[in-house]
Amino acid sequence: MRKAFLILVSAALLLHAPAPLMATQTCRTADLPRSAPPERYLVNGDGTIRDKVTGLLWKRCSEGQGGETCANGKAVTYTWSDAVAVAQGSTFAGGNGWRLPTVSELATLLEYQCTMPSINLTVFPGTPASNFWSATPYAGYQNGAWNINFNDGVHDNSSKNYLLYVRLVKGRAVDARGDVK
Amino acid sequence: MRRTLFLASASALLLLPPLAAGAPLTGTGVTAWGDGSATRLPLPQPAFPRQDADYPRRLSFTKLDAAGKALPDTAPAWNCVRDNVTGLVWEVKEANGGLHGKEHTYTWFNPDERVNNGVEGREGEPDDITCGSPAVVRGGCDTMKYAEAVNAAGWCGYHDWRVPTVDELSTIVDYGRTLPAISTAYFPDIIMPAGFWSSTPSAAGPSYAWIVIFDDGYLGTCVKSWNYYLRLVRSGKK
Repeated sequence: MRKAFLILVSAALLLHAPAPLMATQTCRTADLPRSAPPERYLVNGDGTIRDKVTGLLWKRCSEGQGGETCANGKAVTYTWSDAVAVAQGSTFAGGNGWRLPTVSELATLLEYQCTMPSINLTVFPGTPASNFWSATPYAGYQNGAWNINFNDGVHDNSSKNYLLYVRLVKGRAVDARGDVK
Repeated sequence: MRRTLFLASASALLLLPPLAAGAPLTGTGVTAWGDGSATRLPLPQPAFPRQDADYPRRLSFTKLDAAGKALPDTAPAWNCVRDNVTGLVWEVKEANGGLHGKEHTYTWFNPDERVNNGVEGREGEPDDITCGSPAVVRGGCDTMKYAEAVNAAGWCGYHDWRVPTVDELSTIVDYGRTLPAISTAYFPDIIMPAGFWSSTPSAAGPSYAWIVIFDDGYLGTCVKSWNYYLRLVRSGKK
């Protein structure tokens, strides 16, 4: 009897296992303020997004995706080294200079009102609710770098050998630390 | 035509709203480079360009005395620290107990339904012992009562202290170091494990709020009823 129960439970778990991947975004619109409202962004026709608060220029789609709604192709994961190389080689929207964001820059994309994913999906459609690389090395051990999980916004570090998603950025932030004397 | 476009984008930039108080963007403090495996190299890495350390973004703090006056970096004692980039003024904790004792911890509590995400957290009780014994905070050890106590007494001449948002709290993380990941020259008050409360509730669950762990700069969420450290902040304007 107990065995049958366990099997049923396992079967249920298996059936539910893919759920997080297909989960829809949840936003607590009545209870939490917006940190990434649509008016914050200038949506350009070339697939780039200007954040009017930070001044940074972002790619609308995660690497591997394309199109107006980022529905073409599929978001791809990279090691940290490959992610840096992808940024270096990118000529997207007619220019080089694309790079991985610092962990502080990447955090400015977070919509703290929402999870699954924690980002403005109208502006950045198709964003996987998963870990994205930052350029920021992790000072605590060799071979580590910081990432942000856009499922919920947690900042954590991992081995550079891990395969994580990538969103490229360009430009200098308007309030970069050290620019103020 | 090209010039017109340039002017248009330049004016769009000029019209940018000022940084929202809750979301200052700062550098990470990182001054070393990484390659495919290392993380603390002293020189730029041409094969791995455009890293944090390629952009000069240093931490810039000023010590403040009990009256809020700026002190030289060599001052042996100070009560607050001003971040010269964000303009935010931060509380520095006291080493030997008192109201600001660095070893004191608090539960997250905010009864304001407009901002607490539906759960007020755990209200402190008069017999709490985590923030000074005998009690130095009236009513118990929660984040709201502590801010009220500091504002009643004043600190560095200010009476408008509050719990920082998670965006604000993360601006004093120094990602260039760990254990702790903060400038100990200005904040010599860290006890690890160093979880500090923010005022930002978690969208993942109404019983949770955001914390920053200053051991290494981890940002995550925790149940509001847990005890964590608290560093109050105030905005730069007088």
